[in-house]
Amino acid sequence: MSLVYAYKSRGLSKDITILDADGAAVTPGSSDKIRATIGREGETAKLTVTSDAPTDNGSNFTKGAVNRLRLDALDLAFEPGAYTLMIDLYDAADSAEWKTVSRQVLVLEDT
Amino acid sequence: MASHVVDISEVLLQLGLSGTATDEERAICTLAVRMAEGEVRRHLRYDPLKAERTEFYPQRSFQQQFSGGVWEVMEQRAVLRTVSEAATNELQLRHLPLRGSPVVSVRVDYDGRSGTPSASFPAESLKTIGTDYWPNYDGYDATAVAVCRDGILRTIGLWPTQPGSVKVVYTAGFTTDELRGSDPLVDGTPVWEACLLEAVRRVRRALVQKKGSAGWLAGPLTSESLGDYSYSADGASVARLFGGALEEESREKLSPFVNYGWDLGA
Repeated sequence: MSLVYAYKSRGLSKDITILDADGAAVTPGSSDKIRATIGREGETAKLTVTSDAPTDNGSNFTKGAVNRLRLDALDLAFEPGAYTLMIDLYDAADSAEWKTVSRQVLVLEDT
Repeated sequence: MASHVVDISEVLLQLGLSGTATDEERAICTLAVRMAEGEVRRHLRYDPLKAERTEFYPQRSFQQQFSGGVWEVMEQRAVLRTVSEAATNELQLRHLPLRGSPVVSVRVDYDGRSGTPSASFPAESLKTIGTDYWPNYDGYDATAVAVCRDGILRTIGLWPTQPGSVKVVYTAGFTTDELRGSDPLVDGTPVWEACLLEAVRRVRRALVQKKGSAGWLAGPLTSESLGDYSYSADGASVARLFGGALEEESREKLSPFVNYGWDLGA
């Protein structure tokens, strides 16, 4: 886990490595997808970025040995506060379903 | 999925665990949030989150001096069923604050029986807002929607005293953004803060009571000595700081939001 600190209406790029239960790095395959969701429990997500679906503002999540999450300034224009950043992996080879990789605390500070 | 007043990320941040929380600590926080919100809902007498509600009023029978009634036949007996009394022209709703959009809907059916008969509250039982009843609006929120902070519906006549004869569909409560102070006109920040404080207290209690490698921990150390080693733990402070009932600070924050009128008049 880590604390992800971001600023309202300012872009953010973050490299994310997915580890398995043994601590070995997992590289998503060509059929796999990765997803980043920012929100609070029970509420509509403030932002969802999937590797196969970048946002209209250009936020994207690029797969690789090190996955790069880019959050566009226009997509980080919601209310400042503490949120949960959820990283999920769509594992095509194993049940073809979304699996939670990690949940981080994301704090958005006003600017 | 139902919203929550407090998010686990906020609890972790308050505890200084935002970067290091284990799965067990996250699980403790998840339970603590639910326990804290339940305690706050009990204290307020309502759920502070904005949602549409369908409720029946009044909830209890009232005995008054002046009354109007309807004679009915039940088997071999004549029964005088009291349907209205000179009680009040105010109806106290449970959830606060009442929001003006969607418009609050009121139906009156003396045989409504809290909606249990299939033909209860027919279309003709619908009353007209502004004519038959009106919310006691006291202002507007940041989106120019009317707000009624005391949750009172007034009528030009009398509200029925027959339990379950009034059906009200209304929207009340705070949005999660309003609970965090986004709207200075409708500010529910103290409710959010009380839930957060209580959730953090409950997490701390669980962590203090958690079995350590040397056995159960009894509370904060108050003294420790080296020769013929000894220590004392303060169980009383544990009970005060990490107890289950709402702290005095939380009660004070919630005081302006408690629906005392519901206790007295529903």
